[in-house]
Amino acid sequence: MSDEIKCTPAKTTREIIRENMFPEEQEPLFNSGNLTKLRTKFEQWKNNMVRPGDRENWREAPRTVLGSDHPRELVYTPLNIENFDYQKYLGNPGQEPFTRGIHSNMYRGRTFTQRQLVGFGAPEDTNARIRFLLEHGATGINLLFDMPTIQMYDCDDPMSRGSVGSCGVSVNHVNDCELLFQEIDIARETVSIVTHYPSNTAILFPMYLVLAERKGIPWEQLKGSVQNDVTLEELVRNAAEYLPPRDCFRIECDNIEFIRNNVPRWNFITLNGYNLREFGTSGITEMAVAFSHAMAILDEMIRRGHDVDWVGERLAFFWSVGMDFFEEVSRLRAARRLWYKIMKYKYNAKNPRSMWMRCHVQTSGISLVREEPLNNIVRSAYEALAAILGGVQSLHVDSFDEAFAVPSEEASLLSLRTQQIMEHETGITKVVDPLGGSYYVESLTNQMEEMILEEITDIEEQGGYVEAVNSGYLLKKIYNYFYSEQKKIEQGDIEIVAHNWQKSTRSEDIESFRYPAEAEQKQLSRLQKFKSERDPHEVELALKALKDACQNGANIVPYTLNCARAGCTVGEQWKVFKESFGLWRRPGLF
Amino acid sequence: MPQEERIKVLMCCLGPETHNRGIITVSSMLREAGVEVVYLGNASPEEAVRAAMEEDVQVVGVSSLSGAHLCLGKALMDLARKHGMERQVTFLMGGVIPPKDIPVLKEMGFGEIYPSGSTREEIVGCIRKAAQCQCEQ
Repeated sequence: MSDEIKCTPAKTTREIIRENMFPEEQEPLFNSGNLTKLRTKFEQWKNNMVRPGDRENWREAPRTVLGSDHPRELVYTPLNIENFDYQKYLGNPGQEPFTRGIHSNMYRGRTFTQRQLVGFGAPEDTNARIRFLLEHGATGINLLFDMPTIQMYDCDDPMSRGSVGSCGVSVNHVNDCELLFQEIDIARETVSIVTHYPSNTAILFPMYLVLAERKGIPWEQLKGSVQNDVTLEELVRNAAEYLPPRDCFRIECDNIEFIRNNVPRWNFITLNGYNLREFGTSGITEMAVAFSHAMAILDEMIRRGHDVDWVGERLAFFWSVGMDFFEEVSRLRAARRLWYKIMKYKYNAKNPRSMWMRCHVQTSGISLVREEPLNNIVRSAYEALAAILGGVQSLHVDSFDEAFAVPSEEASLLSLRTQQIMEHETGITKVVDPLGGSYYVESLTNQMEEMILEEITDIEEQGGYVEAVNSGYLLKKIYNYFYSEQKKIEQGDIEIVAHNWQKSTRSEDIESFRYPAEAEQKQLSRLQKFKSERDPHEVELALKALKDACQNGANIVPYTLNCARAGCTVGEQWKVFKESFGLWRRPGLF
Repeated sequence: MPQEERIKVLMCCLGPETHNRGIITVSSMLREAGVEVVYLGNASPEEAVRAAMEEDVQVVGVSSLSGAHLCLGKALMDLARKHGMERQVTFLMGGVIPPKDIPVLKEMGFGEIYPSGSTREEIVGCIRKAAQCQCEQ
């Protein structure tokens, strides 16, 4: 990797956008004469009608879990958005700057994909749950791996004991992958493979590609996404072993390059804000980090000789939606506008698709509590509503029992039903961006955009995304946020019903999900059998070739693909990465 | 006065656990309360027991959010017993633990279980008490 990437650019993104945009003329919607009259009347009203106490506390911040603490006025009027220029600030849906949505007809054309997370036990357990959800009207698959698979240990590694099939499905090799998708039409369904990290994306996605080969499906037909995100591997996760951020970033870019070239309809990265935010940070930092990361990728891809649109048109984002309802709606709108500006004015993208901030969202797991768990259904539903009013492409609704365990089948169905009720019973999908034009939402959208850009500037001043990970700057920032949030909850500054406000006296008693007990044993004997049937010489050659590629700087994915075909396991490939790149000591908090 | 000795706690999560907000938060709380924290992070039960002996801690805190608490909790307590530690060291666990598993874990030998939502007072108070009991022994 060249040194250019870590250098602080001469100009910040904010400066570049400002310079390139400002020649454009503004045409404010409100004329100044009317605004002056309005201001006089408003001041009169404020002084005569509003109580002194309310006047003094005119600005008050909603205290919510994972909120920004950004203060709100008592009421919003045109005076909050004096320069409001409809075309420049909003445009019509599907038009630049895409604030109102990336498609002209939004949900009338294509409803949000109802993509509930699934994953637990052995491959056949998860396969059954996927089919259950598809039979009940789910419109996409969202696949989660178990802790050992995510951390890239085979099920027979001592590290994996007791964790096989927990929190996700266990996959050790290509045959597990085959079992996982048995009787599921992967040529038709869009499959989100939540690989989390660049390292395991490089290992697991090739297994999916080999599976497609076995089923006779050309890669060009495959539709879906992987996560492939450095933030998750280096910043969010807890692990015994980390690769150096630079190498992790290289693997991420190798994945992007390979997938873009060979699996053209596949989203090669899901820039993940969600897990970062759930780890504990505001929605502003969530987006600032993801956008800074996206820019690091674009810079590297341009350095590798690719066109910005070639990469940009397939970038996708993944956000968490929390409890501060209007902030969430505004933030999603702001992110669309800001991403458009970055792509158009910083990167000179030509294809409008590259300027789209496309996203999947998940309601916030951290906002759910254990006390009176059924209340969580209400929380998740409000969050889901904010997501849809914010114009997202795809949604997962968290289940009420998630503070106890992985969702039960009943809870999982309820989450899907929450989405279906919203879509089919409330009528909210008929009108595009229904909150657009609200003085409050427009003003907040402007402020959110400005705040995200400000934090992007902070990261740029730290030397850019990769360096901000490497130095521990981001980890510290997040830690400070969540530790202070914890105190606010303890002190009751953030109120959570039945948890610290109107504290529940009822005992918790819900029938939570049990992992299939025999998954570990099944996976162990399956792995043993698989290993005894493969050609050890081929395995050795494939692993050797992968190691060479890691060390000589070639794109590694053709080699992990070769490993998948040869029957190398997840753990064997992770070992090669560790040997090739060495381990990174993550800057500690303790 | 043995009570004035600084309490020392080992904090770890067992196996490939990826979640760490809980363990970081609790470690910070303890540190703020004047407790000495040895932050081990991810470890196997063997590594956790070894570190607890080497560091000579009074308390071991285990964070578990991914469902491996029963299996790894048992492995940890079996090892602790094997090394004769279970009487000198208090083992605590916190995280995403279904209510029904709490008595099972206590039966295994865990002194207390802190499901998500447990308070600073509960956790710090218990650790102080545990350390005091051991000093008096």
